[in-house]
Amino acid sequence: MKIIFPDGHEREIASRGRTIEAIIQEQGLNPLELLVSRDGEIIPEDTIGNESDSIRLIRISHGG
Amino acid sequence: MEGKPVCSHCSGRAVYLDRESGTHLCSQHLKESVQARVLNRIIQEKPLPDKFGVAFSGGKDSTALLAVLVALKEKIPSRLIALTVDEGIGGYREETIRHARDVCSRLNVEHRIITFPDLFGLSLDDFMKNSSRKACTICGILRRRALEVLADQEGVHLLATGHNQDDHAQTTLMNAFSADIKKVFAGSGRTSQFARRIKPFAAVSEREVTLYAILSDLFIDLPECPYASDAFRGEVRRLLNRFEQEHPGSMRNLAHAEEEIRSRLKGKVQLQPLENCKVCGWSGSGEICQVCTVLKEQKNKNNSSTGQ
Repeated sequence: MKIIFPDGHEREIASRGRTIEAIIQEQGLNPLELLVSRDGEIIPEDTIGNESDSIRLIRISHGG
Repeated sequence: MEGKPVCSHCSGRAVYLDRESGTHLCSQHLKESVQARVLNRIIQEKPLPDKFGVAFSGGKDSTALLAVLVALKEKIPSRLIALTVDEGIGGYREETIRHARDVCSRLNVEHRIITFPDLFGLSLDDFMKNSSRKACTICGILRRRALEVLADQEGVHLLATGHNQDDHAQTTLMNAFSADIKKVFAGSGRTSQFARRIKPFAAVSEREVTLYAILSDLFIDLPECPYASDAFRGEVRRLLNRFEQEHPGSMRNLAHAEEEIRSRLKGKVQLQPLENCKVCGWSGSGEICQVCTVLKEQKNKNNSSTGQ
């Protein structure tokens, strides 16, 4: 699946039947600091990812 | 649930997972849940004034707050007015002010803007030239005054801010780290001169607030303030987010703890009485208020640079 990170960079990651939350955590990010959008629709982070998905991560807080 | 979690209330498509209860919410039920908590906060403020002010920066929190209050307008009889302070921060504030104007126009909310140059003669950028003080310190002092002046001009006696549950929990922990009990009571209404402040999002998480703005089609990824550098709050935020992830509900409990302390110690903590500033006459702590101190420092700086 394609993951678009908050800073705009993209990466292809094998979903292997895992939740988006598990994939986010694997990237060293805290899922609580992000919202997840799939094909323009917000989805909960415990959604199981598909290989064909395009996932955008939206950062919810700034600064610090 | 293969790929598509559904709402625990209506079987609609879920947009949000409540990690504490393990339930999912669709767009409509998430919005209703946020609105119910905001309404619960607001109806505690009795009597509600004719005019209800919202401190409106144009950022996601105050944008979501305005959207919630507009959605609740049949349950809140007060007239809404959005109050914005333009500090004068080049390359950043123009866009957020534009967004603020656009949101008010779309939501049909009355909007007033006050600027630092109008009130203090200088923008924040001007204040920061050759300044040894932190921008956030100066901005915080001046912005608070600007908002008080604007509220006073507009006859606003109740002012809602967009502070959310995460902000509240962070502040609670920061106050605990500093062990300064007075901070817990700061701004808790020692005078009738200022508009009373309320935080309708105090029981709504930052994620829910952001989601509300997105689902209302009002969220845009705005630029970050170039002066934003509150490293300590950032550290506390990361720590709490990590803790919340492992122990869902911690953030809410921490935010609630300070309210409990405030409520149980109400009237028992002796606060220093406010004084009228000898320069501007505004209420504050000490003979000369912080705003006049900042303005005096600026004047001295200008005089020394012109050799006066």
